[in-house]
Amino acid sequence: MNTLSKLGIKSPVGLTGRTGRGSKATDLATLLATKRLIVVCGSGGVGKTTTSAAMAIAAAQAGRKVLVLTIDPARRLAASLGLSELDNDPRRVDPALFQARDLPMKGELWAMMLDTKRSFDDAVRRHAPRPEVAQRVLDNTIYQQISDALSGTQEYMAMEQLSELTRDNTYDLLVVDTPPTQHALDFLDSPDRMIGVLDSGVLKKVFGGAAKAGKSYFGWLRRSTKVVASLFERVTGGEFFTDMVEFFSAFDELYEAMRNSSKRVKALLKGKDAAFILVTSPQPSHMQEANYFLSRIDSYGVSLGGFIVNRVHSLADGTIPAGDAAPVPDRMVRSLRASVPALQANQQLEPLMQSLYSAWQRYAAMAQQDATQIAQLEARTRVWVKQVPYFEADIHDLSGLDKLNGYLFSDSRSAATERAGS
Amino acid sequence: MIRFDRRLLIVSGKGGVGKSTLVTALGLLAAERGIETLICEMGENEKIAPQFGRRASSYCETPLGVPHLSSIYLDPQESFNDYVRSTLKFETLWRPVVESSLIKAFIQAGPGFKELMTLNKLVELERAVKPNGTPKYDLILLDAPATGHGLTLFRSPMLVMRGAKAGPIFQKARLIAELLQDEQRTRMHIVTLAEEMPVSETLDMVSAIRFDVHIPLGDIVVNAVVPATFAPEQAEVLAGLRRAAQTVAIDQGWGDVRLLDMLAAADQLEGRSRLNAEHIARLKAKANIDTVTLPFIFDVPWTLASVRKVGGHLA
Repeated sequence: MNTLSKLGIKSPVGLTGRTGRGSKATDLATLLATKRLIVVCGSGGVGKTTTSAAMAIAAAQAGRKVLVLTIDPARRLAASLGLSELDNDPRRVDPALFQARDLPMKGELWAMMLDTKRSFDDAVRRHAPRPEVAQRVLDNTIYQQISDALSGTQEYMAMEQLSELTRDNTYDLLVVDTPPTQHALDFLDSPDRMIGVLDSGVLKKVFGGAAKAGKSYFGWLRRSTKVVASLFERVTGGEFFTDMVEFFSAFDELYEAMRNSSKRVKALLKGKDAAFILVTSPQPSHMQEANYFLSRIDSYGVSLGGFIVNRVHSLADGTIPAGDAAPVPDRMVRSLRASVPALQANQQLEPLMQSLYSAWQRYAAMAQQDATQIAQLEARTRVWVKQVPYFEADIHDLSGLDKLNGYLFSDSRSAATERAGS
Repeated sequence: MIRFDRRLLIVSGKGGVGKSTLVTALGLLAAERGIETLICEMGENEKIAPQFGRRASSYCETPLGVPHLSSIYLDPQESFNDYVRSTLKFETLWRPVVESSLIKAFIQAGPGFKELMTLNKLVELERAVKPNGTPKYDLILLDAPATGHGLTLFRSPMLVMRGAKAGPIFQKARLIAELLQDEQRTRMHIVTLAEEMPVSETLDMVSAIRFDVHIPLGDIVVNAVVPATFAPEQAEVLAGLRRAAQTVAIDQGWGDVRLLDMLAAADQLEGRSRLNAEHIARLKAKANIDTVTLPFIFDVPWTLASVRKVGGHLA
């Protein structure tokens, strides 16, 4: 439903958000049934992991073999899927869990959790031309410190995993829950940034050159005109410099393979088999981020599937309370006393209605703000914007995920019910 | 209550929990008491100066239009340049280093280097004095980034010390580590929401800070706690009202407001309130640390006055 006209906001021209083939947005159910890769983006704290799990379940229920790659699932959520040992290897979710709750499961659901350190080690072994090259990197003290500490490593490793997982056709669909970056699109930049850092032309020239000159890089430095490098050494201290030289030279033989792997993933992400979904909340700071995402996504050449707005405060039928508030609770108390005999003489009714009404006012103000935020997002895009209400409890089991899917697939589910009814 | 009895107050926590709001509220509160306060922003997400109608903070300490309150952006590149200038002393020596694209790349690539340089500026600000020799700032508030990267930040001195083993950069890292771990000068508060993931991550962070990073811990600030809508003694009349709402048409003359909608909204808020209470209990049971709870401020739109309301609950 378009909240826009209700709020009297005109739809501006110049809508952004490429929707892949044709100009009409593809609904979520169709995306999950046809795509091979769904990338779920969004800032932290908006329910990205839960939403990814819910979508993966829906696709598996409909008959596909689905793998959901998560970053840091809530322990209770993983446990409720029977996955107490979720790790870097894909594990199948027991179909009996669905049977036990009378939920259909025509396909297969698999899950894995990204272990950055292990993925990095694996990638080094995979990309090294010879085992001794891999070992040299793995033994380097600087490598050991950066492989899980350097910012950006997690995003980069998620991409590396993706490259590995899509090498064969083991799964029909991959749902990728991305790390919570500052900007959702940082995820796409991460391989370039990471490889750029490791393979920066200047760095390679100085440190790599030093390494090629053998152990006596001081001699090489003297021979070269790299005054800067020697000054830099004065600034940082000798041993630190030596370790850096060793680190960059150890990586030297890996760049090529890393670059190729990253090229593959990028082609995949831009291909017709992939779609991006942004999960957000109506909170203004999250919405700002969603708008930024929307303004940038076209330049990345990837296809935008749609938006899922979690944690929406909504009012039935969009009702908004009357402006002058003070007399309302009094009127309510009077009409309640008149029509409900049991409440006629109850002294507690008045303070109760005051509390109830002020709670309602606070809630309605939030709902109104949420509606405005969502309407502004809808006005700027051609793709679908799904709303999921703020649940009274955290979602951490299959029934909760099914409830969430009730909102994500409200249109297709009601259509199915209608078909079943007729 | 949060006391301003250490010069350096670090406010850390995951994104979206209201960290910048808390830093701003603390800054306003301190400044109102005449405490000379500097807010330090870092990372990519500068939110504080715009709340005062200013442009984003820069590497220069800039007043925020409120007496005794300024802000600065801790730029790692600028801080590194300062460091090079002070180490190499002569312009003919430092200029090529500062202008080198190699060095710029190194700041990005060197493990923990960017983080170390950010913190280096913090050390200088903490030591800064006025011409008469008294400290320039009574209070320095650091808006530290989300938990994961935050730990990388605070681990960076150790990381560099292990890598460098000796030399000028090692000495810098040691000075930073000394400030961060100094019981007399530093306190860290962690901001969180009373929800499952934020609380779990906060518990992880507390143990990492305690056993690995060793920064003196202050309080955990639980933000945006939804208060209970009804008092326990109202339960009975509420039940009566619910029954009435199911059976009798009593909504006439209430305008757009319907009793069932009101009850549904109240149920939502009550649900959040109960959930918040559960997670606060879990946090208290496991963290073994003081907690301060801040109520959800239902302000639309959100303004500096809303931030002051938050501060009111900290005083």
